[in-house]
Amino acid sequence: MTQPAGKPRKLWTVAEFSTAGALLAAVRAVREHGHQDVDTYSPYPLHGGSEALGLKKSRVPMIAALGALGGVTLGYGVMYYMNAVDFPINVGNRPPHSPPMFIPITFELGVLLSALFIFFGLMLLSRLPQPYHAVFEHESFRSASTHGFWISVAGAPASMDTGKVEADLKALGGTNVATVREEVA
Amino acid sequence: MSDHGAPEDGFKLPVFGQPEPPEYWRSAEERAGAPAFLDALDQEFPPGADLPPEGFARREFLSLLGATVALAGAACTTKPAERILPYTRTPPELTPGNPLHYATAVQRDGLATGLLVTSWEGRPTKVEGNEEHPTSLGAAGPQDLALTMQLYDPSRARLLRHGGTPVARRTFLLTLAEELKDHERDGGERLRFLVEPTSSPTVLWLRDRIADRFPKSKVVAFASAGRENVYGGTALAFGKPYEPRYDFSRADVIVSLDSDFLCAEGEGLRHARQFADRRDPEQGPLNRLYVVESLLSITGGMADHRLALRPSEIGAFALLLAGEVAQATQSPVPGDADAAASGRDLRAQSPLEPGLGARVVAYFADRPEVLKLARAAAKDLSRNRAGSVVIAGRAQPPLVHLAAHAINVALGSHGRAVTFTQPATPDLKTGPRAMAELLAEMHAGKVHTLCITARNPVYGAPADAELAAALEKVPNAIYHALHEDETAPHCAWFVPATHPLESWGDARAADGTISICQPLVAPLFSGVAEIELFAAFLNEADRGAHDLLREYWRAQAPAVDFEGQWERWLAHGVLPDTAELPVTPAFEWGKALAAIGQLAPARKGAELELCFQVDGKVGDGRFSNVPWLQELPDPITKLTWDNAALVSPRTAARLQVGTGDVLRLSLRGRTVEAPAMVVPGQADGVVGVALGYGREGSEPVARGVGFNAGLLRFGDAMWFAGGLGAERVPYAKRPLATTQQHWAMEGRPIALQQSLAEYRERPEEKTEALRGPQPTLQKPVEYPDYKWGMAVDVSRCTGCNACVTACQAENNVPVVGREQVLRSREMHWLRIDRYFQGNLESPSSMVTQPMLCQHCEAAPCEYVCPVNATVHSDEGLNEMIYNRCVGTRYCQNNCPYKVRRFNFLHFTGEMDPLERMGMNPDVTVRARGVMEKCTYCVQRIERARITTRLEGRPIRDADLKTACQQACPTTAIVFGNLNDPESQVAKLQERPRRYDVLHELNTRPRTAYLTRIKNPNPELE
Amino acid sequence: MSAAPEPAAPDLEGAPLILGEHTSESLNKSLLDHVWRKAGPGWWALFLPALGGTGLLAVCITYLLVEGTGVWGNNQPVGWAFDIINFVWWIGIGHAGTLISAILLLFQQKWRTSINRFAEAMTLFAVLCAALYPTLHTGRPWFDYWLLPYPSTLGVGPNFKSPLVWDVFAISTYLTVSFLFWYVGLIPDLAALRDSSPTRRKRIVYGILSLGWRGSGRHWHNYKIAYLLLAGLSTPLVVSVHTIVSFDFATSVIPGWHATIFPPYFVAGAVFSGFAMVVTLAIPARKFLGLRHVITDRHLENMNKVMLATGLIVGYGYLMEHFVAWYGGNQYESWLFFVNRAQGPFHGVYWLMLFCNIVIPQLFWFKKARTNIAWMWIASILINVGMWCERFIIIVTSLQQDYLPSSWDAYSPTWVDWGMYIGTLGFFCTLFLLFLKFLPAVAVSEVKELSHELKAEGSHG
Repeated sequence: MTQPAGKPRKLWTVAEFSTAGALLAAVRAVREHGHQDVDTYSPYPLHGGSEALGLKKSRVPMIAALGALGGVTLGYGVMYYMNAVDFPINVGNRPPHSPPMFIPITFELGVLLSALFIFFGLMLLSRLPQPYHAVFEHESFRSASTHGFWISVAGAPASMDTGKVEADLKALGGTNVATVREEVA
Repeated sequence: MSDHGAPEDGFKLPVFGQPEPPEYWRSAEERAGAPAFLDALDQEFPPGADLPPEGFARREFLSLLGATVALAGAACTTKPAERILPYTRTPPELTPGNPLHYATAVQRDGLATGLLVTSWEGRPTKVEGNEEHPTSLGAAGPQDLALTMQLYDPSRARLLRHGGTPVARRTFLLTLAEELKDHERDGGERLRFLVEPTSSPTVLWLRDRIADRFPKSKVVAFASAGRENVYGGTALAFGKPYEPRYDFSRADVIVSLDSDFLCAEGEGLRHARQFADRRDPEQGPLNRLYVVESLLSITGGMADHRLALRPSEIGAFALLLAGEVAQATQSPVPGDADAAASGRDLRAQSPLEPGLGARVVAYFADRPEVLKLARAAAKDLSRNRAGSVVIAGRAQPPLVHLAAHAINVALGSHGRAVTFTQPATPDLKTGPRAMAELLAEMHAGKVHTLCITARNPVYGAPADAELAAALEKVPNAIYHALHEDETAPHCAWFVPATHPLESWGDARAADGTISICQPLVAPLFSGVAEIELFAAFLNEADRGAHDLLREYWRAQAPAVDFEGQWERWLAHGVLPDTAELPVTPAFEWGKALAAIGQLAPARKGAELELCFQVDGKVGDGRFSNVPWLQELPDPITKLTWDNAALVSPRTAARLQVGTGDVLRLSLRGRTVEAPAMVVPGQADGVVGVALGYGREGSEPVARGVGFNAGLLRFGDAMWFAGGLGAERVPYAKRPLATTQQHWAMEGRPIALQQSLAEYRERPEEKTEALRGPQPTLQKPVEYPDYKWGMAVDVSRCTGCNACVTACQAENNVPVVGREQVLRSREMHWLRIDRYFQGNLESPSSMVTQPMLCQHCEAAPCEYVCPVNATVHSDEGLNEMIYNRCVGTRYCQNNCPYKVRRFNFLHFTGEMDPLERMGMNPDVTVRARGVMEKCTYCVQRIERARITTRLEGRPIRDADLKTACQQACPTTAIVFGNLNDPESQVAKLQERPRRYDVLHELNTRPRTAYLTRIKNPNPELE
Repeated sequence: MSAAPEPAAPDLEGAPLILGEHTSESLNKSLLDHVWRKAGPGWWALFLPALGGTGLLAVCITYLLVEGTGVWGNNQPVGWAFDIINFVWWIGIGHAGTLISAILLLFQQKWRTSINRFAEAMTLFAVLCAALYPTLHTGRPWFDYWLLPYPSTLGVGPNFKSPLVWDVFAISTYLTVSFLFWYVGLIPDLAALRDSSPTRRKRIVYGILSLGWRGSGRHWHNYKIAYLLLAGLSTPLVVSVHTIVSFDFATSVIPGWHATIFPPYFVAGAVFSGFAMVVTLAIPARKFLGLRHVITDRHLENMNKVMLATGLIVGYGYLMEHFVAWYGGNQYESWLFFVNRAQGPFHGVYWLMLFCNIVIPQLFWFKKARTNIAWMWIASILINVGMWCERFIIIVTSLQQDYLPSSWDAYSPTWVDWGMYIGTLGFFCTLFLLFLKFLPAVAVSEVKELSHELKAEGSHG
């Protein structure tokens, strides 16, 4: 189906599959056809989905570790500076720098920063929030979040032969095949 | 005001911003309605006395305006126009920000207590005892300490009224002058005075002069709780009344017949000091105290042996004791060095018949413990003849006093531990009998002008006197008082009195020593001084108290250098060598023996007896408008904001009441309803009630607090009465606001007590486990410089509450009111814990323990504070930083001594501007939501630091006393620097009796306690 | 905390986790449609009283701020009372949510999936209510920020040795992490709502909330691990939070507080009461939202097992406290446990506590009791009452009669105390009902995944 004029940056050919299995098979096939810019859309994580898409190991754990480390250092550092260096007072004959008393907050801050890092890391890595995306242009794509299993093959208008891709997807059993284009602002 | 600003003034008080002291106005009119006032000068009637009511509104407005201005004027520069002198120990010139101390004195029962008042820029804030005064010795009782709050009482009478209408002082004087002209014609036939007993030489001088002018006028003294019986006793014994004086520093064995001689007022301060000095095992031999009383008293709490008898039985016991003493003294005890030395034959000198006791032995037959104690006490007394004291209480009839004197004479302590002087006051007959004649005259309408300076007689007089009714028959009654109380509405004239801290005067102590009373501040309201009032009857009121006072004393003093002497008198607060010399009157045995015989009890008292009590808080009602005193926990019952019908556990069971149930007390047809309170250690079959409550005058604080026990008081039974009816009012309850709910120590090592024998045997037996360092992970912090600490000797503490009030005055501790006390939110930084030992039915003893912040070195309160609002100073003070406190109350929870106090509401919020003047400017006034507690009077430490630094020397004991220490009559509280080996506290903390409360928690408290030592008679073990 | 999950060990032979045959569509319909339906009278009947409670809370708080802490019953010596009791109680309730969603996730307990969502919501709202109390219980709440380490002109900072400061960090961390965990879990379902929303306006709202989630393979790739990591963090967090709460007491010197057993005993207690609350909420929720097919009796039974287990731990805590008091020969503790608590002014509360927390759960030994809905609902409520009593006993009686008998005094709550407690209950219900109405009460995408897996299992054999 043809879209209104305007210069798209990128084109997406999307297709729906009835089951997760069919979808994954399609993904592998399409990638064998040489299309690398492939993505899947499903209401719940697909087993083997990442492998099929050939994604690298997620960087989230690394980010989480950074957060935890930062939190721990920050926590202990602040307490040490405030109570032992900047303003040491005799509080009930306890030493100004008393590590056991500093453990709880150190731990809590570790957890807190780690959690925040994880969340914002996830947002960053998944490019969220992203209210608009080209694939939403396709009306029936709405099933992707509820029960449908979708694939998208993307490419620059120049390099990509949408006709062929649509044909391939149809051949693989895809329904609702269509090509959508990003609206140009 | 003749010589204000006169060149011979030693040094003048500074006046900020104005060259001359301002003129002080005397009434609302004088200040606001000047022209009307000027007219009044030559009018007989006050301006507008005949105006329609709307004129009254104007007057009200003016008076209010005047009052406001009075406050404004009082704010900072109000000071007497006359010259008063700072206490010698302070620099003469006043430096803003540095307080001055002035010596003065107050009278109670006509006897003076010397005081020292702290004044900030002419603003008295704190009362302390005058060390140079013979009865104060530097200490003061709660009522003395609360004088400042009474001074700044916003509800004090502000206007001179005639039939309720405000009039000018001038108008009053002119009217009175006219009246007096009439009285002069018949020589004062119809002129009478009803006065508060006084020892003021100047007042007495004026009274004499009035007597000269009106020969037929009469003066009657009245006090609702006076010392009539004491003088009656000496009159019986020696033919004429004397002032008995007891030297407890020389007393080895003391028997108290219902006498609370340790209570913290008047001579009690001296008694307590002397007594306590003999309760310190490290300082010479201990005395032994036997107390026979009906209600548990402070003195009873200190007793080594105590017997609870009905008030009516005390006399019988006196008789019994006399007999036993006679027995014991028949043969001089071998080795009585004293008797031998005196070489007197005791038989010759004591015709006490051994038979005397026989009359009552039968009576007490069913109570062997009574006989046992009497015998033991008698033996004890006769073993220490010269050092023996038998003292009877003011509530006991003269006969009992007579018996006591007889025993003293018989034992030969007469003239040694017991001496007699001429009474300082002539007003000795203060009871209803003295008033009877006057009442008759009044009822008969024979009295035209009655001048009343007695404190609230309508409230204080016995119910059957019907004074109020009598007053209606007196057309020209003049009432002179601080408040428009119950008496005011019955009198044609009301004259607002000046407060003792506002007026010039003089007074004599029990031993006759004379003090000049200096005003600390000009009258805040249009008050008239007592001297001025009496002068008015000589048309000399305008001369002012100061002038009259000086005239009198100028005549007394040798002509040379009167001014110099005057200044010395004011500066020291006492006139040197004015004490009466002791006299040794002859004891009239013949009459005495016959009289004592009458003490044999008529019948066995099976029914209930009512026993009146003057509590150490509101007295006979004159202090019932002072919140500090209302909220002061009673030393025994710990009751605040109320009085109650005190009953022993057994009697309570008999009446089927518990604490808080309401009893209907009926006596001779009169009834009152009173909440019952069960108190251990009280005689069975006795209901104790405190006077001075249930006030109905204009005092807002006093109104509706407690019930008026005076309604059951009769002329012939002023102190106790039999035939009391008491029944529980069904379903009625009155919760009592007590500050201590649990009265047993549950066997915990908190307030320790040991017998002298135990102590001599193994001094540290009880304390060794409760002192000294304990293993700890944290290296204790060093305190190289100063190391503040406190030692509290429980052996000395009588629990008199002086320290509590002193702390409250010094540290601006707020009063919270009955409701909050019921919720247990009282704010006292220093409380006195009181524990009973043995079973609560009949406790073996009572221990008092002042409990305040212990300033632990390893303070549990500190490490839990999330915001560092309570931390340790480098001198070991546990500091509370109010403005940093967010009020989590965690510190209070974690304080094992529970001495921290939280401002649950804005307790200091609605303070009258006048009340604010009483605040100590050195101490922060805390706001809502902030924790507070004892600071060891850190403000005093800092002042001492400043003064000593100027002199370039370290702080020593002499430079520094905490407020509680200063007030304590028995010096039970000692504060100082533990690093200074010379300091008293350091020495005390080394004593074997020293121990730490809750030592096992290893909080390392800086406040240490010394165990209480009891000295029981081995024969009674 | 190790003890909690064991009894919850998966018994796959048990009743099914999802009743009947379901496709993703049918699940969508049954689990999401209630969002589009109009709220029924039942919902309003619950919501309006709850809203009233919230109003009451507002009134009480205003009164408190105007007058001061004195409007409560707290006094000397009882410096803490309803304020901290309710704080600990709410925090405890919160814990079950995190436990179910996090720990059971780590232990791969499939049965958690359909209840974790509102368990988490419950956690979030409970912690909100809990946080109210320490914030308002100070004498001068407007200075609460002094507990935070900020560069202050006063120079002095907070005292990090105080357990109250630990609380500040523990609670705020717990609140934040619980929220993130809950929200991350919600994102796919929000997307589902967006895509099935009937009107444009709703679509925009849920579109914004779902952050533009597309369920892309790349999203899931990071999402799965992120969610797992958050679960991994929450697990020690939930343990640490109640441990720290128990430190408020354990680090003090007060008999009845100063006990090393407190941390485990508090955590167990928290889970105990938390699960009870989940049951209390789940039973009506599944009825009104028609979720019986996903929140099956098996779920409830498992939760009862957890309650039994944690209840036993709590019982052991009580036993140990009393044993140590006796065996340690500390007269202050002996007095507290054997005289004050058992016979003292609040002995009624004490025995009620023992009955609700020790006796009641024992019935869960019997399958009949574990599977009887009515009974377990009553039991769960009784257990929450019991746990409230436990906090009352620990806090009030310990303070009331500590070392010096002279300072012992009575305690009685005021109407404001009760008002704020009822108020927080109302506030909690308000939030919870709004949640049930506008958000998927069940983790839809997870249930789909589960049903998919179960189907797979079925097909394999």
